[in-house]
Amino acid sequence: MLTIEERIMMLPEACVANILSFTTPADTFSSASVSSVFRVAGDSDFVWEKFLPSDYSRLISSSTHQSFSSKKELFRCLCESILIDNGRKIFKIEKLTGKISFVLSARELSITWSDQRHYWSWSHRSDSRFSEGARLIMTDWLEIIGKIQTGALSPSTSYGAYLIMKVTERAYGLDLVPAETWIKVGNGENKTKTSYLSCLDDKKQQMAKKEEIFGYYRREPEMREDGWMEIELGEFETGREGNEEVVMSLTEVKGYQLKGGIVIDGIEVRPKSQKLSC
Amino acid sequence: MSESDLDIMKPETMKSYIYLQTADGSVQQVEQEVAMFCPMICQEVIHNGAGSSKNHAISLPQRVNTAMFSLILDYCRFHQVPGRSNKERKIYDEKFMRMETKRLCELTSAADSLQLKPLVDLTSRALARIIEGKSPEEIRDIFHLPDDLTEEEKLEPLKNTMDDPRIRLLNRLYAKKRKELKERERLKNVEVEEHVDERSVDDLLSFINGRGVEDTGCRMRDLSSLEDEIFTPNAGCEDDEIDPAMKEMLDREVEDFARRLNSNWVQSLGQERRPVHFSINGNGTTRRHIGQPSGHN
Repeated sequence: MLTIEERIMMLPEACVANILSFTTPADTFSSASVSSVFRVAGDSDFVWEKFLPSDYSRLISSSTHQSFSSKKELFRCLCESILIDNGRKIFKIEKLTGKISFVLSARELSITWSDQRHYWSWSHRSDSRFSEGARLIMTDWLEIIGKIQTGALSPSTSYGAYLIMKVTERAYGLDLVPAETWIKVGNGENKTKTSYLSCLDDKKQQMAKKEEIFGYYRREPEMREDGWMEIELGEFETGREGNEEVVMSLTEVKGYQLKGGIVIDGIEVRPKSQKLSC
Repeated sequence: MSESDLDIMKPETMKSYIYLQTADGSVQQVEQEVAMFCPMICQEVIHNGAGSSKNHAISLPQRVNTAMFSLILDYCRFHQVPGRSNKERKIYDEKFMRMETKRLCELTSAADSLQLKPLVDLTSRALARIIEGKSPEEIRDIFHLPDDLTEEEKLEPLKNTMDDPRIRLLNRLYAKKRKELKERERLKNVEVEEHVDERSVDDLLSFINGRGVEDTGCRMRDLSSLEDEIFTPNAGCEDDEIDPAMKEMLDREVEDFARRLNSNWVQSLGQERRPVHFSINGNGTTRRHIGQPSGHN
């Protein structure tokens, strides 16, 4: 028998659903084991609709014709990476937080001189997440720019933008001068940083260590889980509302030497606290 | 400011009151503009003409007891004043929310029955902050919830609302394992080439979670075709002849497995998945390679 206390504490299912909608997807998934009321509330479309991005129907229809019996199922589907916009972008929701991330394909970026077949080569790659990647044959002017709207991302979130790339065995000219990376949101300021395009081999690493002692830090591409490398272009915050354009860029135009041998898969925009991605 | 002060300030206007009756029977007299802030009361007054006198008092829903009613009135009294700034309102709200969890629940319930959405959302957000990150046991403790789910139901989240092919696969693997064990017992003395599935729970777990297929949207479909590959068509698998102790042990393994699958399901993004590659032997049983797909050997 329930005490008066217990009876009073029992909230109707609609109230529980409302409460869960203010928590996270992770909490809502685990609510299925709390009690029968929480379980039913946690399965309801009301809650999962709140966790879905506002344009979810467009996103889903552009990638699959599968029909869904519940919003929860739809949410789960969006947690797997889906190709959207004619295969030019990848969209994903992080399952536990509900935060959105994107990968823009190389085709979606502006790569200066990439239409010139003597400078850049476009081809299908078995290790790419898209249908094509761009490989640099030779250029003295390396300029890669990507754009995204903050309205497409999760509000009130810290995001980082990362250039997904690889260095081929026959690369050259990447070591001499660091590239510049920057991000600009709306009419805000550029925040410029530098990064080298390739990692030092062992012999050169020994020499670099000596320089580190004198406080010089050399930023390099970092390894990812999927076998590619990434260079952080910068970070930015999305506001609670509004829709501004974010411009993300990597340029190496100050060194006059010719460079070649990098492969670009795209730019990933993902929440900053997350270390892993698709 | 007391009501008599208000009367002195505006002697000409007849102050209107609404009469409301709480669940315990007592009738209260509330200023009209304060009471009308609650949609439910507003509806009663406008559509049913109720609340104009003591005899025609509006009966409040069961969930609104006297204590909660007084809190709600305080809230309405503050917010119905039009001149306040957003900042003022926010500060008031934050102070107002400082109460113990039990009262927050009662208040949510009461405000919900009066359809006072701003207050419902306010209390719900406070309760959401309390729930976030807590385990099911902790949440039951806080809200005095009965532990009314069966063990099966607690594992059931894995089944999704639809048939989760991973669970289907798991069940079939276990049925197969049970059958093989049965066979082995029967043919103890006969030397037969055994194709017993020796895989442990851990192996099965990584098998189920392993993605040996390309990263497109078609995982579920591939897994079910994989399932069909593995199981040659058989008449139904009966396992009632199994030793009950064995059966119980297997059932516990399934449960343990499912629990782990569930926690993997919820937290799994961080784990590295090794592709698990299968090939089918000539006699229809399967072989499993860990790591590189066979093309790379």
